[in-house]
Parts: sequence; structure tokens; C-alpha cells
Amino acid sequence: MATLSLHQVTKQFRGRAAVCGVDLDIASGEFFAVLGPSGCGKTTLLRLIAGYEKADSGSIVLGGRDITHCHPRDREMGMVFQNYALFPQMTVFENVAFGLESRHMGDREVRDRVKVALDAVHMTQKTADPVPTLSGGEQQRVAVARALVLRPQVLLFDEPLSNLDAALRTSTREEIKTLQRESGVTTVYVTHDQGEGMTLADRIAVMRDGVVRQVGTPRELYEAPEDPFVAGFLGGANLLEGLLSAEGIFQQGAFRIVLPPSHYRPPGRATLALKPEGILLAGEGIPGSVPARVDAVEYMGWMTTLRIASQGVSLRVIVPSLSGALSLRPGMTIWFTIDWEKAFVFPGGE
Amino acid sequence: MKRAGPLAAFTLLVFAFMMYVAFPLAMMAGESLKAGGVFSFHQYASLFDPANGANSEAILNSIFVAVLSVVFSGLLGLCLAFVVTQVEFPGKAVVARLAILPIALPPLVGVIAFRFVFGSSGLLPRILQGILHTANPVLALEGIPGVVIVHVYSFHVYTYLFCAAALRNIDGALIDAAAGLGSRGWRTFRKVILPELRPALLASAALTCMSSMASFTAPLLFAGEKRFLTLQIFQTKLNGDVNLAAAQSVLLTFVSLGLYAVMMSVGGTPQTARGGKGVARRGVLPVPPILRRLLVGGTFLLLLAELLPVAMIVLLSFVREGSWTTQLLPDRYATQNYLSLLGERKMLEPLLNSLLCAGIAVIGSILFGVSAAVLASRAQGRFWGKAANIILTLPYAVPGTVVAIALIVSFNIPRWWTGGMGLVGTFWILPFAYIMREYPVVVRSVTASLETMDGSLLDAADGLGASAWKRFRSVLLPAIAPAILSGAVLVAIASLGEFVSSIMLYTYASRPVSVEILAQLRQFNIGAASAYAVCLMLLILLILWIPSFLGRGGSGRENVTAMMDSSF
Repeated sequence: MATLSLHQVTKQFRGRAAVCGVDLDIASGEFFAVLGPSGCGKTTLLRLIAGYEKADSGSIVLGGRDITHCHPRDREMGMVFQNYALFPQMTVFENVAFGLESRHMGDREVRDRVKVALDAVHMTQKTADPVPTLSGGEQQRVAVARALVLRPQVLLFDEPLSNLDAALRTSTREEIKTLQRESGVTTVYVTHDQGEGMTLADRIAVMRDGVVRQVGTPRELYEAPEDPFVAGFLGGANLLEGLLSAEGIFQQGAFRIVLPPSHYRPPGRATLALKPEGILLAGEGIPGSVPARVDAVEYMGWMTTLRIASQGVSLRVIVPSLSGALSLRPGMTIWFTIDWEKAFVFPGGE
Repeated sequence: MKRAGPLAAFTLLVFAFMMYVAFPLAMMAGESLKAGGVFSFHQYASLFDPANGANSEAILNSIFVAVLSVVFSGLLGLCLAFVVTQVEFPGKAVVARLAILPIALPPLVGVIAFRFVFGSSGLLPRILQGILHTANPVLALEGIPGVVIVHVYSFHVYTYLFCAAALRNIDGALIDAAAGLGSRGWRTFRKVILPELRPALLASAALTCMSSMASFTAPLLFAGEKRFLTLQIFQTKLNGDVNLAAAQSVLLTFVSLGLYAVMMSVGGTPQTARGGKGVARRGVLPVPPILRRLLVGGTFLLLLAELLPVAMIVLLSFVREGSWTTQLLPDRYATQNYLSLLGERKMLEPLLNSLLCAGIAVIGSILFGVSAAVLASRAQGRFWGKAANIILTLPYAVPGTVVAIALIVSFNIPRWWTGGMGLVGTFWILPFAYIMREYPVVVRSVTASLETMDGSLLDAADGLGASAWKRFRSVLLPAIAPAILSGAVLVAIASLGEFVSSIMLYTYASRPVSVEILAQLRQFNIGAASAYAVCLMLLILLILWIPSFLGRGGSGRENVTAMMDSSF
């Protein structure tokens, strides 16, 4: 396996930057996820790595070899496409063997390697089946086998689970993780689903508007976001844009809250990110508690989501479904405090 | 009571289909089983009798030409589709538009235009004759090669349109995947792209074969002494042997229906639908520079060969009558042909006849086609729905020559369902034949539209208490209006230039413009014939742009392509 490095990679489409000066260093054997909303440039970044798009500038280096201008077939990478891109007129075997035959391997070696690859994805019993007869999950496995059979240095996934139903997504996610751990192949996995990224990846790059906003482990990103977008995208934080005074008072319209000294920042425009689980229900009269009106209650099993309004701002709150939360009804008044470990202040606007 | 309306419409429709479509074909089949007024297989025996050389020769020639037409039209159409969808070059958009020109031309006009340039007295063979100082024109197209080349000129557009649509629909990820797996251009084309094109190639091959077998005009003007099945039917009828002509027609019908079945069963779309998010990427195969230059150069040559006949016919429409004898090109031009065509009642009559017949054909086809499609859609997804659709569109596969024979044997005497009138020899037989040939286009177009229509719209209207008429007028009609318009445009174009049935059914008073063009040509009035042809082309151009004028669609090319898709 090999390390993969991107240096200042940029790609424009019709004058619009899809990927803008991206620097990444992905370690050998690492499971690396690229996470971001639709249109953020993550798929373009993956296609640049695979060689399906040519970078306008910058370089891509794999295991010390500059592959920026290499054809996809010479990059030693395997890609699993979002819609799998299996050749519909071929059988499972023919699809997996396609890359080996393109490299003029002998029949026996092709057979052996296809068998190993299909074995790895538990698809040996469907070797002779035509692709259109397979279920979505099976097609996904064949696509993985087709990519793995070439023993690539890097395995690329482009939102491979987005065409599967919820239950199958969870089980396939676990299979992919196991397969990656066993094969040890360096993996780049593109997704817009933060749950997928958090559970699968060793490290995540969060992208927006073609720019990588932050790279880190799932925990680092969640617990120490470096910008409001990352805080909002990964933790679903409530983002309030307002003014911060020198005395540590944050104000957005009528909403006014005193920050602890640990959260002081230079006075001026600032964004306050409050994680929904960092807003804690409190009793009336507890020092520092703030009153709010319950607007909506959504029971979600072990937790309950509340939509509350306080001093002109609307906040999303997640609380355990304990008796206190279960008795809440829209229109009721509650009091809350902030767990400042789960709140972040970023100078400037979002 | 609620079902009385649809039931009455259904009964009326079945009656119309049985009496006006099925009855003539059944009568024709009946006539083919008669000899001397009694039941006999004699006609079929003589059809396949090796001793009767004329019939065997006609059948073999038709099949031979059909096979060659399929092969060469397929190759040319595929290359053209590949260039237009896979290669970037300046002027590509114009090429894509002009490439459909041969099917936009009425068959007779296309063939005549082709003859003016490539025929034995055409421009190019005579230029070559002058250069090479030979006794006869060089490389003049005639006989079987001539017919095949005219067919390839006209029919390669089917393969082009079908394959271009399929190539545009190929998921770009497939080509990316193949490239990533190490496959090079030719292998990717053979293993990934070609299998995706298989349905389009099969459907266009069947359509080409069907059109070639039914082709009448190209053999009439290029075949010379060679016999063809369609010409043989025409000749047999002229000789007064209706029973043999009917047997020949039945044979041609079966061949056409078989090919139609192949075409309908394979369809024209690739197996993969585009998946993935965002804007779907078109699959583009990298083409080596030399091949690219070769393909683009060839495409422009083809385009030149397609435009030259049209340019020639426009030029000849200005020739002063009788002034073009031995010169390479006429040396005296005038607007006289157009002035007399538009100014003299006798000259204008064929154009007016064609317009009137086409207008009636459009109205008749819409009335019958739309009600048939809507009623058949009530059984959508069920066996009866599919069966009704197949039966209703079958006449599309019946060659024009056969339609004419079927109408002649059925309506040469008065029938009560034709108002006690024998239609043969009257004006009405022409629009009647056009409706019978073209209404399936409306059925196909409207059915395709109904299949994609959101069924819950009608349910919603029903739930909101709308009457059947209000549901039709306010919900269904607006949804299928573009399809009706597309179908109507296609019917109008086909009817305006219709020649194959018309030549067997017209009377002097009702002669349509296509028949008049041939008559003028036979009198060596090349200028007048060309002026008629130019007027016909202008009318067709005008009709093709109606949908975009009404804001129902994009360019003329898109309209034709959409109509082709919905029609076949």
C-alpha cells in the first residue's frame, strides 16, 4: 500500500472552481473520508485522484510517484462508482475479470484472482449470474470485487451506499470497513452522510465550495471544529451570528448570553455554535439558566428533539427521553443552561 | 350509466378499426386465395414457382437489396452517430441538424434529387465523363447499386438517430470504469459500448429492412430493368391480375410485420439508465487523432453528398423549361416555374390537393389515434392493453403499396359504412389511405406520453369530483397535447409527400403533388418538377417548426428525433 498526497490541486469548470487548492496527505492503509454537502466538489476531487479529470494545477503523488498526468489505468487505483458502473451485458465473473483481461492475464490467473475477489465479498455463488438480475447490495459487492481484483494501491469509493435502503446501508457499511481492515488498502471514501464518514473513517476531510475546511479524526472534528461550517455540518450545531463584546457578552438581536472566560474572543462579529446536546434542561432559577418556549417535540426513541425559542432565536435541542423530556408539550416554558464544552465561538461570520 | 360513454367510444373504435383497417386487409388476403373466382392457393404457388422467373427475381432482388441496405446503412449511421456524440469538432451542432435531412425529404423528392446529381444523366457522372473524356457518364448510379445507395442515403438516418440517442444515454461511469480497469479505446468500444448499442442497432436494422422491402420510389427510378416486389405488385395490378397482386401484397405484409415485431421487441434504448447524482455525465470514448480526422472528414463529405442533391433541386427549380439539354448545368434561369405554379389554377391544383388530403389525414389520424390510445391506456400494464396497442399500430408496418391494393379490392364497390359509395376513383380514397398508413404514429406518440404521465393526476381529478369530460379536457388533454402535436406534424409531413399509395389510387382531379412531380419529370419538365419539390420541402420545413413556434419543443431536429423515438 502507499501514501497518497495532494498538493494545491485545483480544478475549474467553466470558470467556476470545483476544487480549489486542496492539500491532503493520506497515510498508507488509512481509511480516509471526504465529507461535504452536494456540490462541494468532493466527487470532482475523487475523480481527480482517479485520473478521470485532469487537474488545472497542483500535483498528486502516490507512493512517491507523481501521477498527476497518468491515465487512470496507470494509477493503480480501483474505483467503486456511485451507481457501480457494472457492465450490464456481462456476468458477475466477466465484470470482475474485465480489468485482468484488459491486462492480458492468462485464463488460469484470471479465474483464480476473480475467485479470490468474489470470495472476499461473499459473491462466489453468483459468479455466472447476469448483472441486471442482482440486487443493489449484490451489485455493490461485485463493484468492490472488480475494483479489488486488480490489487490497487488505493481504493476509491464515490458514495457507494447512496443507492441502498437504510437497513442494507448499515450492513454494507460494516462489510466495507471489515474488507478494508483485512486488505489494508488505502481508501478514499466520498460521502455526504456524516454518519457514514464518522463510523467508517480513520480521518475525515470536510469540504465546502471546493475547499477543504478541516481535516481530522471524527472525534477531533466533532469535539473541536475549527470553523462554524464544520460545527454545523458534523454536529448539527445551532449557529448564531452576532456581536461579541469585550466583556464576553454575545448578542444576536434580543438574545444575549454571557460567555465563560475560556470562550472569550476578540470583540466584534462572531458566530456562536451550540451543539444540540450541549443545551441542557435546567430548573427555574438556577444561576445562568435562560427561559425558552417549547415549539415542537419529536420523540425519537432513546432521545427527544426539541425546537425551542428563546429571546427571538430558535434552537434545536437533543435531550435523553427521560420522564422530564417526555412530559414536555409545545407551548410550555422551560429553562436551559449551556454546557460550554459543547459550545464554540468563532470570530467573524459563518 | 357512468360507463356508458367509454363503452360507446370503445364500440365505435372497434367498429372503425374492423371496418376501415382490418376489413381491407382481410379482403386482400381473401382475394389472394382466389383464382378464377374460386378458392385456390394458385397465386401463392405461382409466386414461389421457380418457372415463373419474374416473381422469384422480384423477391430475391428485394431481399438482396434489403440486406445490403441494412449493412451499409447500419455502418454509415453508426459512424455518423459516433462522430456526432463522441468527437468534438467545429460545426458539430450544424452537422447534427443537417444529418437528418434525408428523412425530412419526401421519398420521391429525395430520390429525384439524388438522380439529378448521381443518376446516369446527373451532374457528377457527367462532370467525370467530361474530365475523363469517356463515351458514357462515369460512376452513374443505376440498377441494384443505385437502389442500394439511395436506400443508404435515406435509411442510414434511422441508425444514426437510434444510435446517437443510445450513445448519449450511455452512462459515462461505464467508460470511466473500463478505462480505470485498463481497457483501451477499441476494447472499450467492442466490449462496453457496442453491447449497449445492440438494441438500437437491431431496431434500426429491422426498420431499415422493413423500409427497404417496402421501398417503391427508389426501384421505380433507379432499378431500370430489374424487378422488385413492390414494383411487381404495381405492375401486376396494372396488368389487371388483382388476385396475384393481392398474394404478392400478403407476402410483403408478412415480411414487414415480422420485421416490425423484431423492431418493437428489441426497442432502441440501452440497457443502463444513467445513475448517480447531479448532472449525468455523457460517456466519451477517447479517439486517436488520426481516426478523429478521418471520421470528421468523412462526415463532412457525407454531408456534402446529402446537401448537393437538395441544392441541385433548388437550382433546377429556376431552370427555364426546355433550356437544359446537353449542357452540364442549365445556362438560363427564371422564376417562371414558380410563377406558373402559383399563378395557374391547373398547376396549383396538385399542391392544394396534397394540402387538403394532408389536412384531412391529420384530423382523421388525431381523432382515431388519440381515442384509440386513450382507450387502450385504460388497460395499461395488462395483457389487453399491450395487445390493443400492438394491433392498433400494426398498419404502420404495412407497406404503402399493400395499403393501396387492400383499399382497391375492398372499396371498388359501394359499402354501407362508406356512405354507400365506392371510394376507389374518388377524392376520398387518398386521405383515407393516408389515415390508414399514418394514424399509428399518433397512437404511438400519445401512448408514449400516457405511459409517462403521472396517473395520480387523474385520480386526484376524480377524487375532486371532476366529470369524465372535465378530466379529459383539463387534465389528460394538456398532458398529451405535445404528443398529439408531434404525431400530427409527422402525419402532415408524411401525407404531404406521400407517393407510394397515391400513385395507385389517384384520379386526375385528385392528383397529389408527388404524382404531379413524377408526371412533370416524365414530360421532361424538370424545372416544374423541381419547383413542386422545392415547394413541398418548404412546406415540410414550415410544419417541422410548428412545435417550436408554439413553444412545445426545441429545434426541428429535436422534434424529428422525439417523433422518431415516439413513433418507432
